[in-house]
Amino acid sequence: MTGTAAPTPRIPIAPHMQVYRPTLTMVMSIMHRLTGTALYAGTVVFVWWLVAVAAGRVAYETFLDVFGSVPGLVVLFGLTWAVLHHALGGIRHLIWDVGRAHTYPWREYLARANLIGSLTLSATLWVVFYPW
Amino acid sequence: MEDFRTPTARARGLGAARGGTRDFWYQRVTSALGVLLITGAIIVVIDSIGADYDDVRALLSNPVVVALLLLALLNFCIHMRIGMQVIIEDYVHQPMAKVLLLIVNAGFSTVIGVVGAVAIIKIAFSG
Amino acid sequence: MRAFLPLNFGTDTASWVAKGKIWNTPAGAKATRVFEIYRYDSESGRGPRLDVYHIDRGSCGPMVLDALIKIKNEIDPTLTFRRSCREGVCGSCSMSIGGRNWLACTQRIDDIEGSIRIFPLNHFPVKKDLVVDQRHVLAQHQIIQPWLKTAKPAPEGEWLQSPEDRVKLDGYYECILCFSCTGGCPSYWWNGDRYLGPAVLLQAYRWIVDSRDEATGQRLDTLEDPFRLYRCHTIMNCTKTCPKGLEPAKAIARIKAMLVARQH
Ligand code: HEM
Ligand code: SF4
Ligand code: FES
Repeated sequence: MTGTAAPTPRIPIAPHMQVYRPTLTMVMSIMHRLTGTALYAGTVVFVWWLVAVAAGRVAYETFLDVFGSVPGLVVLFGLTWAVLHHALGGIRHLIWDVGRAHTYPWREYLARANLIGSLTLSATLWVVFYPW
Repeated sequence: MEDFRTPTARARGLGAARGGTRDFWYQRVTSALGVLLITGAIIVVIDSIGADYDDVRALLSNPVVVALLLLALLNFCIHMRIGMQVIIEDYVHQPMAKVLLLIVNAGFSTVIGVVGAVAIIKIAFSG
Repeated sequence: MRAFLPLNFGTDTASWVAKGKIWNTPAGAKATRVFEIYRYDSESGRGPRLDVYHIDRGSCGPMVLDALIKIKNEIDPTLTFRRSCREGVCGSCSMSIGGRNWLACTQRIDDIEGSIRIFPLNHFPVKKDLVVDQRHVLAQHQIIQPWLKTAKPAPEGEWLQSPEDRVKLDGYYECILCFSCTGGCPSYWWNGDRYLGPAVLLQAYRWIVDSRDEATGQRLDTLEDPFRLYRCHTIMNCTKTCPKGLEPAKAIARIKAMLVARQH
């Protein structure tokens, strides 16, 4: 052994997110978190709506103007998808929490149903109920 | 600063907090109830599409709708406070920043709940 | 003291992986496979790098471990990795192969398309090349006291267990502590200093459900913590990457359910 006391370099940490092949359930977990965060912010829109109705005709018209505009509609459609995706994702979590559908291929089916379900549901709701 | 603690000392840390189950349970309860409440809330919102101001007021002063919206608001304010707390604890490790954000989170969730509830009650009692 | 962002968010320059050496193609090889392998030597004074090796598939055994051994024997004797049983029972050779964690000795080369990228188990501190420092996770394993705990003195013969109770250990006792699951868990990446991770929690459950154990409540006490247990967000990477086909996420869900049950 040599007696040189070279400064110990900082120990590297093995790469993780950069090298891990994305899995469907992992992506869905991230999306559950993103949609949850979007809904967190989206409560402001919901409360704005309530306050506008409570405040009177003028405030309500303003709300309709803001959310009838193109950016406003985009936000509303985004929130529709977010709430449906997050709600279906929540059901997926509840199923896993009681120990069901952990096994291949059921866990993949659940994750896929979550995504397909939320997209078709939000598209359907808008096609049917938006006063085109 | 070099950390000379043994791996055991580091792994044990401050020990088990004997907590977390309550938040976990409330998150699941508010999720399960939330499925029903959000369905109701979505129906109410859809019902208001295209309606004029007086119709919307009438809709929002229906006692069933008032109860539904108040319950939904309470449910999701609890749900989102716990949810955002988990996110903050996951990613923010600097103690001061973490505590600050946890307070902001609790404050935001409370304010959303109270302001929303006041609006609903005001509509309910002024016809 | 923890940094503002966890080290592991990618801000830690000591962990960045540079391009490494490209080793020559073996002469006379017919079908070559490309292996890109993480290299790190603390004594080199340099950071990690990714070396490229070309292997003659015709003269190599079927598994990734065979290729690693071939590289060590024939191309580069400094390549360092752990292995022992070469048949999937010792848990030594777990590593990141082609974007998921698996045992090198049970991962077929031909099941991976294109170049085969190999890294040490995700997020563990690296000692040398593919060998990681497991001191922390093993200390975490000690926390859950992975042995039979009884107040009653041991019987003359054996502790008895009904066949029904024995079946409850299936899917849990088979764990070989390779830590593939723990390395693949994003929650462990961000909070591994406090979160116990899937492997240790599956082991904890293995003792919690054991009908012979008399410390169930105490075991649950040890786990009841927002970080030790509840950092699990059911991401499912653990269950998908377990090379023994176990379901750590289910074990964790069961533990949470027991903690809820004893509240009411
Ligand atoms: C039917 C409706 C809903 C259901 C079933 C539901 C279900 C869930 C579940 C099970 C979780 C926990 C996920 C985990 O453990 O990782 C969660 C997280 C969360 N939820 Fe909801 N949720 C619903 C609606 C909402 C709404 C309306 C909001 C916002 C106002 C919201 C905000 C959040 C947030 C911020 C999180 C944290 C996300 C995370 O930890 O990744 N949720 N939700
Ligand atoms: S649960 Fe599976 S992946 Fe995790 S340590 Fe045990 S054998 Fe390895
Ligand atoms: S060498 Fe033992 S599991 Fe691979």
